[in-house]
Amino acid sequence: MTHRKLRRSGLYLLLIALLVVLLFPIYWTFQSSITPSRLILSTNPPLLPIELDMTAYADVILRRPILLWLGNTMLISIVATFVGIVLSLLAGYSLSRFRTAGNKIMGFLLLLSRMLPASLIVIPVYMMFSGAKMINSYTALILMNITNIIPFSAWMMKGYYDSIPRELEEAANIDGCNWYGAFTKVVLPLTLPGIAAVSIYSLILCWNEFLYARTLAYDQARWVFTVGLASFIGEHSINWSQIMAGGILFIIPLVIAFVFLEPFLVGGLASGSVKG
Amino acid sequence: MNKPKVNQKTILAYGLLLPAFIMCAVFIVYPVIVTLLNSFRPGATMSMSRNRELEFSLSVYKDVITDPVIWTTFGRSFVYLFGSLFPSYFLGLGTALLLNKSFGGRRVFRTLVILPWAIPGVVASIMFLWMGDATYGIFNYLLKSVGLIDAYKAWFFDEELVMFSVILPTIWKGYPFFTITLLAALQSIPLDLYEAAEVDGCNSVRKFWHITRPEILEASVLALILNGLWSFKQFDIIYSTTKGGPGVATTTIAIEIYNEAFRYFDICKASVEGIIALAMCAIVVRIFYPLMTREGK
Repeated sequence: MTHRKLRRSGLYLLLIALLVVLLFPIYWTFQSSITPSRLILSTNPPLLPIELDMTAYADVILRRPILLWLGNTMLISIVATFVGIVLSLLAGYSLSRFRTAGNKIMGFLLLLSRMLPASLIVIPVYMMFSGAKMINSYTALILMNITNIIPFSAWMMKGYYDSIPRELEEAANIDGCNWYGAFTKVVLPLTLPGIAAVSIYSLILCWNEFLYARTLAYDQARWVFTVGLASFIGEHSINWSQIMAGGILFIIPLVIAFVFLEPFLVGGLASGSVKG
Repeated sequence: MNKPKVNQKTILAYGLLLPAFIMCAVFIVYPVIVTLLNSFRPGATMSMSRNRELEFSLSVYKDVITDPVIWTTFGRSFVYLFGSLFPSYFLGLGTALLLNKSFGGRRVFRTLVILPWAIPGVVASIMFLWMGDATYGIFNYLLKSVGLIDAYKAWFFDEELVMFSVILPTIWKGYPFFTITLLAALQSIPLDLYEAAEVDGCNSVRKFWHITRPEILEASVLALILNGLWSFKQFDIIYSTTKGGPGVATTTIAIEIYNEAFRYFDICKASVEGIIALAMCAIVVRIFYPLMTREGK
């Protein structure tokens, strides 16, 4: 018994030590954002919070357009996720229930999107949108985010549909439901955990998107948060506390959503279908 | 009576796929075709209509392939790829083995261990940029305190160190993927295999080698391929901190393609480099295709 207890405490100690190392970057970002600049810009910075100072947050919110960028990120992420999910719900159902050439094509598209460097595909995409006079438009960014989502989420949704017995729909058909009725009343409610997983995955993907946002919008008013944050790096004297405060504000919604929805997410990710 | 029903089903099947297909056709397949065409058009610009009038020629392919610069760029890509791939794998394997034990609060630990997966690449690399700052960086402070370095180093501005410095956030953001996939593989191993081994008097090292290792081999290979492709194409982490510099020290092929197009406006050369990179990925995918289609969906 004592031997087991000892091993158990050893395991916890190991895990906690590991977490301290692995989560240190996030902790240090947070610590840098709440410690006064005069202390943090030092060759002997305090490792633990000793003096709480929120001026970096006030400065970054008041002096930089980060709320605008955050708003842009939210708008693009939410619209793209919503549309992407609807399209994937339909496509995933077809992939799961019908054996057509569509399965092969969709499988090929998934492989292609895994192989294609985004920094390559952004070149013709830029040409297309600049030809259509859509540079600096939300529509362009939303469309590209939807395209990012679909190949993965359609296959993730197929996996969830596969786990629902066809007999349920057949029973609904016998009861007089047409295809649409069976889909919305029987199948969709059962895939809610799947929809949750795919939604959170897509939201994270959109929230993190940088390449298209940086390339397809040069107008500061249309920047998303990642682009704005990266622009601080090029400045003459980098204001670290502000960047760290901005970074923390940006990842808070992400971390909260992740912590609560992680159980849904892990199932979908583990099927090997996703690499974000 | 039967025939129209089959047709109806086919219409439904394709109808449901159609919106997703259109998006992928317009924004994935068509751009690939444009890239392929542009790679044969020396002097191509950002204007599609003007590119259509250009003559086809293989000359840029010849120039790029015979120029050793492209191969050093690919070399840099592989240093970055393998420098981040195996540390991520072993960190992921280690954390997965720990999380596979049963203990209270396992779910909380799992969430925290894989948290870096959700952090945007741009934010991750800016975190490391700050930690590796030449004057006030915590890395320098900690490493000097324990005596590992004598003098403060400019982690992101020293050509010798910068590759290591961009690999670190890549590992940090990459290992949770291995944790998740390997944990799932570990949990699907039947427990009676271990019980039988215990009866035979196997210690934990032998159990790992003879049971765990073969059982997670397939999942490992698949995860390595997927993560490798991700690193090979990685843009956000490198570009947001170094833009490929200093000099060309972190110019991997993904960065090179982008800079060639958006800094030097050589669309043809960028397209050629991109097609070569894509061909390399395609070869890898072709080799592991049976594995990827069996489990990868």
